[in-house]
Parts: sequence; C-alpha cells; structure tokens
Amino acid sequence: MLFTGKVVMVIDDSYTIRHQVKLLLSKYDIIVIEAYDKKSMLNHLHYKGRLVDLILMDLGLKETTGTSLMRFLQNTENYKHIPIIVLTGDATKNTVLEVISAYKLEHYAIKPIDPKNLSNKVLTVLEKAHFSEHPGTNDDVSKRIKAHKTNVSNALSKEADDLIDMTENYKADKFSIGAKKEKTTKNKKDSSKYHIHPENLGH
Amino acid sequence: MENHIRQFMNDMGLDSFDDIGFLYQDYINECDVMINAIDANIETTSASELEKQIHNLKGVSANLYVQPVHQIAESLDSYLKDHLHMTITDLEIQSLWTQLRSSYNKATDEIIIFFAKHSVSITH
Repeated sequence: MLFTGKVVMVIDDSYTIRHQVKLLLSKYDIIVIEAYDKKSMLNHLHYKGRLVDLILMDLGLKETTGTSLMRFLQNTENYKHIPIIVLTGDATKNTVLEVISAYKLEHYAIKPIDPKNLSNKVLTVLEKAHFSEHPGTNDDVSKRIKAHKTNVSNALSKEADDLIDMTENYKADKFSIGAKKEKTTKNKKDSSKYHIHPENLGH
Repeated sequence: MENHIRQFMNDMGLDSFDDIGFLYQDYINECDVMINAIDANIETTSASELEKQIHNLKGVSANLYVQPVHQIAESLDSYLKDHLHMTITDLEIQSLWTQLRSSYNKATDEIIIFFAKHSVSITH
C-alpha cells in the first residue's frame, strides 16, 4: 500500500481527538504519533531514525499556540520541509487567510473533524510527498494498483458466485433470505442562540 | 445517541465496536475530568476561564457526534463569549451549565448502554 509505514504526527491537547485521528488513519496502515506541546513534539519528530511525513497541528493548544509551533518548525532547517495540515475550530475567513499565507499551508481542516475530508487531505499530502521523493516509482505504483484491482475483481467474482448459489437455493425454497435496512438519520444542527429546551435535544 | 454513534462509525469507516467503544471511553474519561474540574471551582472561576473549558468540551463532543452535549456547550460558549465580564452567579450561565451537566449524564448513559449491547464495557 502506498501509505503503509507513513508516519503522521497529530498535535492536539485532547487525547480523545488524538485517539480519533489515530483510529481514522489506521485503516491506511499509517503510523500516528501523538504530541500535545512543543516538548512532546520535539521528542517525537523522528520515528525510527527518520522524520515524520506529515504534521496535523491544532492551532488552539493550551500551553503553546499552534502558530508558534509552526513558526518554530518553519524556521528550523531540519524541519521546515515537513508538510503541515492545520486543524482548528476557528473558521473565520481572516484567520484562515492569515494562517495559510503566513505559513504557506496547502491544507486547512476545520473542526469538528469531518473524517472523510480529513482522510482525503492527509492522503493527498502523503501521496504528493511520496511522488516528489520517488519520481521514478509511478510504474511500481501502477503495477500495484493493477494487482489490487485484480484482487478486488477476484473477490467480487467469488461474491457473485456465492450470490448465484444463494439465489438457486432460494428458488428451490431451501431457505429464506431476509434483509433489513437500517435508516440512519443525518444529525440536524440546532442554531438557537442561548436557550435550549430539553425536549429539543437530539437524544 | 445510537443513531449518532452509528453515523460516526460510518463516517469513520470503522465497524469495530471495540475500537469505537474505547474511543468513547476516552471521551467520557476526558469530559468527566473537565466537568468535575468546572464543578469544583465554579464559585471562583471567571467567565473567561469557564469559556475556555466549555470550548474544549464543545469541541470534543462535536468530534464524536455527541450532539446533545455539543448543542448546549455551543450555547453556553456563545453566551460566555458575549458576557465575559459576568460572573458564574449569573442565572443564565447557571441554567445552561445545569442543562449541560444533565445532558452529558444522559448522553453518557446512552453511550454505555449502546456499547454494552455490543459486548463492549464502558464505565463512567
């Protein structure tokens, strides 16, 4: 897999959010290192002898601001090339523009975390970095993608065969097939200013 | 909370109740500490300090789709930002704080029940 073994550092005060990011990226065999301030960041910027591939940086840290950490990284020769995705709840236009232009960021992710959106951004950055480091590996990647497609195709063929068997058995009335679809409702955001009545809560 | 948790699992692309359950355990552990700290110091905490803590509670609740808690935390956060000069004795702040604690307790009970149905033990 293209992302296997890639190392992402997540810097956030909340261990729940760090855990969430770790779970989210584990699907792609990405190693996630956690930090919560400058000291823990410096202690873990190297993983098994090499620099992390990407940093997810929360701007609203308690002890040190995310912007001061970014300034430090970008002013340090060894660290200035590590790509950063900023993660923050402050979505005001001025803040976004200020941070993006000041730190030449390519990606900015708004909290609360949208898992799919964040995954896409992380994978895009890692993929871009991978191909810029390994310009000659496109052929390898193409071969691996072809092999993956074949595997998927084989798995789907088997599934199709199983379905055909099930259908034949159903026709012969050997067993009944039941299906139940579960509806999930999209959560609606309540925009009332200050007053929340208990009966309006989304329990 | 069941629908919220299922939506969360779907969006995270994960179907392991164990993995997601442990994440919600972290959520409960972290929020318990925040809420107990606020309760312990509520008489002496300034509105601006309380706002920072509520902001954190709001954020982590939103991330894990604990919508009922997020909604009230957002209201309280917004009120505090507009009234940083107020003290905690302000009736509106007290009312919202009471609602928040109640909503949090209810949400966590529902989280615990949901995961218990899937053989994942979560404690409060």
